[in-house]
Amino acid sequence: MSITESHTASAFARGFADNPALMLRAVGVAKTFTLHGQGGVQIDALDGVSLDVERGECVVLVGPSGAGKSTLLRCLYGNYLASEGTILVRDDAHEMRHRAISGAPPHDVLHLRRSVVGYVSQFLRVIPRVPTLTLVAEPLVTRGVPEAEARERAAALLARLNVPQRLWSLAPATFSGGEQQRVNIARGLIAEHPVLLLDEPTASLDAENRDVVADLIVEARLRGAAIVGIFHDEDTRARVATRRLELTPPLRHTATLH
Amino acid sequence: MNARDTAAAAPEYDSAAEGYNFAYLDEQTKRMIRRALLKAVAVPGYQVPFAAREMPLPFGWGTGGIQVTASIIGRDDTLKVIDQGSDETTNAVNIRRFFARTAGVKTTRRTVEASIVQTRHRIPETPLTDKQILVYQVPNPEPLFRLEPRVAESRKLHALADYGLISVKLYEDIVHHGSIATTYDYPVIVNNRYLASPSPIPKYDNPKMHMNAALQLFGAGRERRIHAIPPYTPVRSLDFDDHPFEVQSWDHACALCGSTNSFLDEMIVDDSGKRMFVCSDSDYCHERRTEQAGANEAGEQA
Amino acid sequence: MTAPTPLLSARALTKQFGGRNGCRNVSFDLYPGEVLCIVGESGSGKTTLLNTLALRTEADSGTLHYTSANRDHLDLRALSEPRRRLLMRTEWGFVQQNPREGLRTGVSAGANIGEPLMAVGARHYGQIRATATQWMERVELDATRIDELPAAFSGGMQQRLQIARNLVTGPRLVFMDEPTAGLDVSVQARLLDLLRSLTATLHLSVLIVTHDIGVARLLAHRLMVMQGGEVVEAGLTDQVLDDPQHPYTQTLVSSVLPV
Repeated sequence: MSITESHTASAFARGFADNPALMLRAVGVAKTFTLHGQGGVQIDALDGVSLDVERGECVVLVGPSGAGKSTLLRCLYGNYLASEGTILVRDDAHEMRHRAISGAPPHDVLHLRRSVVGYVSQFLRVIPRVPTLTLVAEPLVTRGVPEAEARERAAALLARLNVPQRLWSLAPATFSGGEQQRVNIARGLIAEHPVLLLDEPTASLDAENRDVVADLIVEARLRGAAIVGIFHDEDTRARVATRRLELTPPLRHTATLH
Repeated sequence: MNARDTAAAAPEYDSAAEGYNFAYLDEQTKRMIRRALLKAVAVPGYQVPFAAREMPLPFGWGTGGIQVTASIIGRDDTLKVIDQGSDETTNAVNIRRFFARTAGVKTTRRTVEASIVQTRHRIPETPLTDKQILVYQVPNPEPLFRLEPRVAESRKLHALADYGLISVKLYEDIVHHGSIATTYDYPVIVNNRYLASPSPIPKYDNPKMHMNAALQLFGAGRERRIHAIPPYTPVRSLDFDDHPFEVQSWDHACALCGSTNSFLDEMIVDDSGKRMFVCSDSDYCHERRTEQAGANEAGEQA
Repeated sequence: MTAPTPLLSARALTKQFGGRNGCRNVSFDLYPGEVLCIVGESGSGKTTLLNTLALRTEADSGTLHYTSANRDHLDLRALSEPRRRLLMRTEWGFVQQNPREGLRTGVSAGANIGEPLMAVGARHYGQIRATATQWMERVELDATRIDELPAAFSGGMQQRLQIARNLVTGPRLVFMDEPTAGLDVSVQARLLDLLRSLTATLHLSVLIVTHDIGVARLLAHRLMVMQGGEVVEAGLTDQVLDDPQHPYTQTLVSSVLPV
């Protein structure tokens, strides 16, 4: 490790050790896509973003389309590989009190996703033929919750989100966009992860259901979750946000040939 | 070390047929077979390969048993040969005469008089002693053959005592027949180690193999294998905990001697289909009848 | 807190045929409960890699370690044959692409599922049969057909039977070679559902070879992409498919027709 790196590393370490409320720390996260199939074209999607999130905070990302809001969330979840920067998440079981998502081996990221970081995507990734109730109960079952209890909690959450009971035994593939999204949200929130990443969770919902989701997010926040989210409507933003972070599109946004 | 020159030895065996070595096989062959027999006795139930010779009868007629007998028989031995319990079938008669001519040994029909008993498909009812050797004729020594036809693989299974496959066979029997349907050549575990085929003796005879005082030798000529069960060796017939091994029983007694604890053959005696159950072991039946006749005479005289 | 031990560890594993083809320099760690898909087109070396990992083929070089159920750290390449066979009988499973190669076609379905139990000493007919019945139900086969021969079942059902046979002893690591290839699309789909729920509930580690990215996306936590005998990219399934780095991976992902 270089002097700078070790200095930075200890700075990071101090962060999580000194501040027990700190849950997520992103430093200088940037993302560039290289499209090999198109002559090596490079697309900058995110420019050096830094962010600390504490318990009970809900940081709402704002900015124009193309600013990299969704990209940032995906990098925080390990779904995209950050091209630059460091992403650390609290892990009190670990000696250093945190673990890196950036540059981490797949096993570590899987562990963090299971127990620490939850993600609600913009669209439901439909797993075919699995009934809705089972889908929503699954994150609890994989964390060791007995199946009967998991299904009860899933039912309660679906009911709260106004997903009609007659749909619970069906696979969501044929549901409306709004119904699918509510199933998605239920699945993402049910395990009560300490860190939550929400990518436009209310995009296809009507006002009533947006309110329910906003309530759920506030409850999570009050429970001590650290949340980073993107919301397309101002009402929801106003209800859930404790602060906002403005992202601007990367400077070098035009395509550069290799 | 070296075998005696057969030309010089021939005059001694003056009861052997002209031009044959004692007991037909040359001395080198007998030594090779004895070596195989020693190995077999040392590792009970293990199939030892041997260089089976061309015998004056085809495969399937007991060439393996004959070669084993020829390798161990001496001038002072008394030989009994049975085939399905009878001393009088063509096969038994021919083999007995073969040894009478090539070895000049005494032969007998009485189990108690024999020092070597060669048998096809039965164990004598009369218990054997530690002065006797039982030589079995074996068609196929490999109990796994139908399930695992690859020789290399079945040898590995024996080497690793990987015998799940034979349980599969027994399982299938129960599936198809409600009970383990194998009634002869019923697989056994010898000395708690090797899976062996006892040759096609009825399962009724399996218990006789266990802790028998006699030496039991098995010769398979076509397959070129020898295996052995030394005296007083545990031999267990395979079964399931909830389908234990059982021997056959009959509702009848032997029509000739009245025995209720021997293996009975069912015989059709006339054109109207009249049946009779008779001891398969002809010597055993005969002995019993002789005893009974003697007792009757003694009774009448009394 | 100690770092968890990998179940299976490969370092620089190489198996080639006449200096070409096969797989080269493969390294990875597989942890308990992880499903890892090895994806590539035919000729990529994925099947060679699977067979080398499962000890059906001997590697040319590299190391391969496995942590057994009683915490032994085994050097798999140095294992004696009896030890290897015992391992395969008790802790591993191997599901063949063609179910007829992974089943005994001459004995009943129940015997096929019961055999691994009998091979490790099960001696009670009734219990063996009860276990076989349970497993048939678990893989969604009609348990009343327990006494029928494998040939009486369709291809998809034979594959389920093979899966039951492999899982009945509760293995920790299961290798699968293109388990859904050759099956009708709808049959494939049902089989994938079954594999998905079994791997989740049984906490199995699974190594699957497939050329079908859809299978990987559905079943696997992790993905290894092979091309020309080498692993060109590896990582979490969603990461590799959503943010492919290597040119070949990008081609592969963009070639998949959207459903």
